[in-house]
Amino acid sequence: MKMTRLQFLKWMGVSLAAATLPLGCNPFSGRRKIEGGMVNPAVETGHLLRKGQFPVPTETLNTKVVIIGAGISGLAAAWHLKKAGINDFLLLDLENEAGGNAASGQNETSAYPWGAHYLPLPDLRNTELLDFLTEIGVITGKTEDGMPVYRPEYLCQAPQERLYMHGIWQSSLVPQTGMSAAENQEFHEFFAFIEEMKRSTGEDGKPLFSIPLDSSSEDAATRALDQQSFAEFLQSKGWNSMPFRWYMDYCCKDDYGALARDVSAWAGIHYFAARTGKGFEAGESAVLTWPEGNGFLAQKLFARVKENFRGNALVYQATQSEQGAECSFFDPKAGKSFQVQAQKLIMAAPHFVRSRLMPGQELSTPLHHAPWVVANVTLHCEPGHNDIAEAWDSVAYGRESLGYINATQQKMSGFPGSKSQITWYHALAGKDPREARQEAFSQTWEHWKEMVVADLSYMHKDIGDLIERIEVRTWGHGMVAPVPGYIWGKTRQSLIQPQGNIHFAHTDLSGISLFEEGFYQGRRAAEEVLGEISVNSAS
Amino acid sequence: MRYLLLISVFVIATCGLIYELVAGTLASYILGDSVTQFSTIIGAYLFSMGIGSFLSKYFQRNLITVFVRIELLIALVGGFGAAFLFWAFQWVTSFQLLLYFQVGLTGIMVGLEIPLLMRILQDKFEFKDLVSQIFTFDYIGALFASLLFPLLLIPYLGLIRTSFFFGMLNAGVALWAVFMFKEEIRGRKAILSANVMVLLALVAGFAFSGNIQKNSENQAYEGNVIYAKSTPYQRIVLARVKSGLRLFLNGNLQFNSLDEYRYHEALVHPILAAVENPRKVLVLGGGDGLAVREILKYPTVDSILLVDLDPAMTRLFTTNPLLTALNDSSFYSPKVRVINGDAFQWIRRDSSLFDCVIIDFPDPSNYSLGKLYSLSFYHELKRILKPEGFGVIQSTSPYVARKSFWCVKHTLEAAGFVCSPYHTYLPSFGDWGFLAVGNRILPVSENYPANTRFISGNTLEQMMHFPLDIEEVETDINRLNNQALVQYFEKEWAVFTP
Repeated sequence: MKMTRLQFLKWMGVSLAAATLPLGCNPFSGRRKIEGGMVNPAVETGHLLRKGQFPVPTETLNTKVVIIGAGISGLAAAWHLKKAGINDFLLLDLENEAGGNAASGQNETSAYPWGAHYLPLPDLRNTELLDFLTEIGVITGKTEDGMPVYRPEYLCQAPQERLYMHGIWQSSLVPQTGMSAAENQEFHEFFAFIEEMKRSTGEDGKPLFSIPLDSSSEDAATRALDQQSFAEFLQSKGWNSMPFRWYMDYCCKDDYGALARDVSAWAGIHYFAARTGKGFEAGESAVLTWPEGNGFLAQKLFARVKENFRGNALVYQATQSEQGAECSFFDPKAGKSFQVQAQKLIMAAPHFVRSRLMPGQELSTPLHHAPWVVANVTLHCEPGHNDIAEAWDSVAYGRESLGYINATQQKMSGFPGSKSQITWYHALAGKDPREARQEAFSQTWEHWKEMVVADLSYMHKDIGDLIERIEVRTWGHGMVAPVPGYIWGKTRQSLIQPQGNIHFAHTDLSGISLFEEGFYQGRRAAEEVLGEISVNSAS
Repeated sequence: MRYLLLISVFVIATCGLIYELVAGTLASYILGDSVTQFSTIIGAYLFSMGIGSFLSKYFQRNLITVFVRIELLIALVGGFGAAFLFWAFQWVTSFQLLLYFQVGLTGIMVGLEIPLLMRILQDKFEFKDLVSQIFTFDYIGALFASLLFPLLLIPYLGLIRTSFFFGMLNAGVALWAVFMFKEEIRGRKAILSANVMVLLALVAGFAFSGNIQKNSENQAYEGNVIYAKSTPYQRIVLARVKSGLRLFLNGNLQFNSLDEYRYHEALVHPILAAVENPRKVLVLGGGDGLAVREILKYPTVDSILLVDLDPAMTRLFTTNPLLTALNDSSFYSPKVRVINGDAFQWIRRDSSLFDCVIIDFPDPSNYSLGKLYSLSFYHELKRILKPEGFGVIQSTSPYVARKSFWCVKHTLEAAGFVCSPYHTYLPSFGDWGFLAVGNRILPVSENYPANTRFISGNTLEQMMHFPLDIEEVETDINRLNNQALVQYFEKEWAVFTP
């Protein structure tokens, strides 16, 4: 009957092990350490371009067309070449993957965007884009009255947006909470004005504001709006209240990375008045989105042209040649340079790159590109917990950041998962872009992490305890801003013009950085090239 | 010396009775029928104490060392008893066996305490004083425990922490004995370190056991919580009330064992009886196996597929004896296959066809659940239902959430279904609605299985009548990009719940 000491200790050990098992949850687990880091692919490679010293090319590649830059415009150009039956072309990018500003990532929780993340429904007149969306299965058919039917899982699911204003979540981004009648009146007048602009056409029968913007009316009075700043225009209308000015700045930052005072009135109105797309059971405010954002569209474009893609190709020079055009690129992985000889060259890179590759392209005033900071945040809680990520787009009134979007919004599931993945956006607007860029690149991950946590904590008090991981990407040249005079001025017109066998395609040539514009510019350049190639082959 | 000694007798006595009360309370929480449980637990406990007293004569040497060891064992077995039994409840097939084993073991050791103590002290006191004082304090301790337990311990500490707390007291008495009789104890260092370890383990157990059985949770669930688990998907709580067992998911009542048969018969039988010789049946949600129990009453059914998100839920209803008694061990039927996964993701991938589909999802109380009631989901449902088949959707209360109920109907119609709405009264829930769907109106069949308790003859015909205050109203269709249903649901239930 007596236990030996050894038996006793064994027994005790077994009992202890058994007894501690059910006590899994640890109430004392304090604030977890936030993991993460900077994600800036190819920035080092890109900076090699500044130094400008590359080995002499030792190998020559021959192709019919070479496209420099695999962002949306380069991909769209490649897609159209392929569609026209051209297989002999090369698509170069300094990054390992195609997509440009539509880059995306993926972790255990979800895919997520690094940049552009939605597409408003295209206007019914933008047939090229509608055809593309049909081809990739985003549009599944048409109703009897001609309405495109979008796949329900690609239309942004409800609730689409919300604004945190005076401590309350309201269900629209347009400020409403606690506003005076006079303030509300400004919004009322503004949106009435926008409705009028949406319905108006010029004498040429074209809509006053359209996407792509080159399809807008040439109406002189309307185009004159490009000469003044959006802020001046709004002020002249008497729309001055704090909520109104905040909202306009928010919208301009969201699409242009600049404040209302830095963009033209034409561009500011265009943001609202050109969104005229419709679909079956989907109105003008509907947008298409995917967990990986516009990475979805980029991948669809890429899938068709991937055999022609070459990543890690840092193009450092592009010129006209006797037979056509040529360019040289350095491959840091191979450690050597290549020369490409082609009949035609499509420069689908932003203008600041273009001016480094080709002599004599500098502008007296460089284009306005604001830097952006994008953070992908993984949270240890399901979407909807304590109000977190309970809409696709969550914005806080009066803040500098643009808020965050929720990657799992589109998940077809009754339970989106026990973790949330959100993407936080911040445009460094209102400063000199060059200084802002230097400032952005000199900051550490710690700095951005603190900023992200502080900004998110404004909307969700205890969110800091729920954050597992924050990854940060800085975009030095986030997007072009349509400064007054650029969209309808001479500079843009001259930049679009082909130079011999070199053609140009980029949203810089539109002045607004939208997927639709990138797609349009790529198609336009491809068509120019196709026209001349067939002329050449005919002769 | 004498003063301290009497205190320790008092403590031992209190602990002894507390363990008995803990076991009795736990048994009536989990197994119900408190008169039987208390009576048998007290009997078994006292009898075990008798065995302990009998066994005490076999200890002849080193009585103090034996006494300290016994105290430590009681501290472990008694102290961890409640936590262990609650934990084991979800895994073992015969809970009673384990319960009485624990009660017996504690009883035997508690029975050893007093005889041993008396023999240790027999040379130090006059015998008549010893007997008188030890028993006086023994009985005072018992009175103290029996008052303390219902008035202070259960309301403020709960069962698990009470049991840990008194384990600490037993370990404290052991520690006192080690110091008091330090010359007479052999292997003092080892005993002392064991003592400290037991004490630490109990303190840790006390500190970390806030998870289950808190009084606040008991109040929230209006009963005694006998099982609580937070899974990655939800919090599952099983509570014992006077009338039976109640299951809560994230705080929402799922069923009460007293009247769940009404709900599950109303959910399953109208469509199963309407299909001629149903063979393949799909259940979405319904991880409690109660709908499956009803489906198994149809001999022609040869395969039932159940898709439920949470493996912890289906496991609980497969292994727990109280719950398998409720669902007739339906998950053990060879006809049943369980898939743990997301119903939306699963239905999008599946290409088989079913005679009957039973949808028993939680109410659309958030945007994620709202997707399971969307037009996109019902398009998939239409695809997997045989042309002659029928489906049924539990569709919340048409009385409380009138628009919500009809919104589900209109969404199903937009997906191309012919809908047959019906409703019935459930004592635990109120007036509850269902929507049968197919390619035609649900025929009123009377071919119900013989062993139903609620549905028979013309029950369905009565259920299909909707009085004025819950008549059909116009609503939006619930699409992914408007989530109309969740908005109706929130508004309507907000009015109804305080």
